[in-house]
Amino acid sequence: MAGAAEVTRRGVALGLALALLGASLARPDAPPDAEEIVRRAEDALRGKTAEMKLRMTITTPRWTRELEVRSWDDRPKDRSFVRVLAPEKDKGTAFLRDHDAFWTWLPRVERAMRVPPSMMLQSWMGSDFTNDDLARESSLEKDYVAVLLPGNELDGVAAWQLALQPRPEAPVVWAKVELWIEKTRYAPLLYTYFDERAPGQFEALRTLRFSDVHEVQGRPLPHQWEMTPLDKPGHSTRVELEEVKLDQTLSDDIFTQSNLRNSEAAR
Amino acid sequence: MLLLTLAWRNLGRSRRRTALTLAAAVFATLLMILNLAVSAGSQRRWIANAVELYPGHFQVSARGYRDSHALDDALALAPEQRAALDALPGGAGWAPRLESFGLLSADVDSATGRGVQLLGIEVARERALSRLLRGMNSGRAPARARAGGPREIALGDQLARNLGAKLGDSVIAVSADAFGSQTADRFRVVGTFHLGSSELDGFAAFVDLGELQDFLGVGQGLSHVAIFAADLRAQAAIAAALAAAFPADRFDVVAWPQLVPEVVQFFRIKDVGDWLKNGLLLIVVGFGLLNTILMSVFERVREFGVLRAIGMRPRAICGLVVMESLLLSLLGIALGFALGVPLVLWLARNPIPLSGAELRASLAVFGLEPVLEFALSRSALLALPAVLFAVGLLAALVPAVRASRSRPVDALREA
Repeated sequence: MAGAAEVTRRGVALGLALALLGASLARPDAPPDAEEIVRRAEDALRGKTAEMKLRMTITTPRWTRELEVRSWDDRPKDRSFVRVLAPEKDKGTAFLRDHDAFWTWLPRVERAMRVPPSMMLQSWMGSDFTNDDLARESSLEKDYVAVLLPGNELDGVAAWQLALQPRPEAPVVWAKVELWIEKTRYAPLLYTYFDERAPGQFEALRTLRFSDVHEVQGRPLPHQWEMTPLDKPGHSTRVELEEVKLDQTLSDDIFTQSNLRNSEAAR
Repeated sequence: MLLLTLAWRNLGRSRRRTALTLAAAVFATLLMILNLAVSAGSQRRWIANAVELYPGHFQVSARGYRDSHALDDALALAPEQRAALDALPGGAGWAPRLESFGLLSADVDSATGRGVQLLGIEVARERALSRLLRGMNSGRAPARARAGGPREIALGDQLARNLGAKLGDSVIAVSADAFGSQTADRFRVVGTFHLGSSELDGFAAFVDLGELQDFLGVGQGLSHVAIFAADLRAQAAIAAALAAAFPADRFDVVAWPQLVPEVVQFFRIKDVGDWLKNGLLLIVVGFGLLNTILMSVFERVREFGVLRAIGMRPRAICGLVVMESLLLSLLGIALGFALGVPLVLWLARNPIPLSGAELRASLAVFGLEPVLEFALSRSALLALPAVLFAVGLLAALVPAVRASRSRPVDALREA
């Protein structure tokens, strides 16, 4: 009896798949669902899991600073780890996030400190990225509802324009995010983050521009990200990805307090 | 003119009645003067209190810092600017400060950090100028660390409780340094303070100015210089001197109404309440006067009847009573001021001490001295006589009309 039920369910699934295929074949120009576009763009940026080595260049009107960072992002288990490799002054500083708990390791005093949730929007290591950006706590896919906007092209590239608004229960920091996603490869091009000054009145606070798209494991991954705060002229932070491994299984040992304390790993 | 002479003579003829009405007018004037003086006194105290707690009468910062609060926009004092600050008029003093947002936690692994404001201060100057260090309720103010010694910090008592830190414990401080990089170190808790402001007691910590500059790597950088006027009458002169030493294209000079906007706002609301209260008091005073004058008119039924009988017009009788009342009001206001102004001036110098342990304790929480303060306000001197005179006039109208309606027949019956 169980076998028969299984066969029926498979039959239904196959039928549905064929029907969907048929629908998409019938209207090849129909845009995919907005949520689907966001999902694919986020997949391109983060993979299921991602291990990256990146170089961060922070520019202000008075100084420029460069950081070398290794990061591990485990989306299925909702946790992440970031370790600063250079410069010497910041080497060994590390950040561990497990769901909504966030710790930082302070090598100078050899202590881990739990960072309160109110700090997630603070600048990460003096950059224009926030702790939340680096620890990737909030997720465009999970925490926002996407709507397709009429925009068709960004800087001569065929692209979708989407508006993301937070789900009512999501612990989210931005009142609105506007995305431009390249049509051909689903590569993200430009994210603009908004604050809500008054009901219905949005003010753009920062932009994240993606460029230098290379295929990594079949995904169109932008290798340069540039965050520009719009209220601070002369400030920007550029991230260049130097090594990327997507979708590998990340060991539980990475996301532990003892790994957090392991400054030696920064060498 | 005849009426005036008549009114004046009438006042003199019934001394007891005159004295009674006069006393009512004097009492009303005194009451109003004291009432305004207490309002003005408490307003001055609250503003002084808010200003002296920490902000100061003026703050100077580098252009842009007030918006960004970034160490990039820190203030660096040139030698001639220090000289200008030292030479401010009216005996004004100044205190350099550095503020930085940071996280503090107990010195144990995985303790939760708490967002705090680190205030870098020069202890000797704050002692002389602000009330910041008068709130120390255990230990002592932080000093610059001796070579090889631990850095020192004083915590708000609520913050210390939240961190579970006691005197002598060390705490971990994390902040962003001048280059945005993370800086962290241990600080020894040498004191706690209670200032009655949850913002300070729960979320602030004091560190020696040089120590915080070193911790943040900002050299001689400051968030602002706070200026405390010894005498508020020198305000304009101080503002002019500051504007000359700190040109507006590179510096911001902000005065106390913007530094303690909540207090200014509070008094704007309280002013409305004061006017309502004064209005009610005026109505009471007006009815008091009206009552006294009306009684005196009732006593004089015979007199007015006779006046009517010998041919005086009702209008003239009305005018006579009004004239009498106005003379009394004027006299009363003049006497009231002659007594009230010296009294307020004396009280301004010798505030009334408040007794009651509970009241004293609750005022101490706000850092207020347990005294009832008085101040002579300009509105008391200028507006009050006019308003009281108008009330006196209104209060005289009813009895005057009443008197003008006297009939000789009633006067005969009275006899």
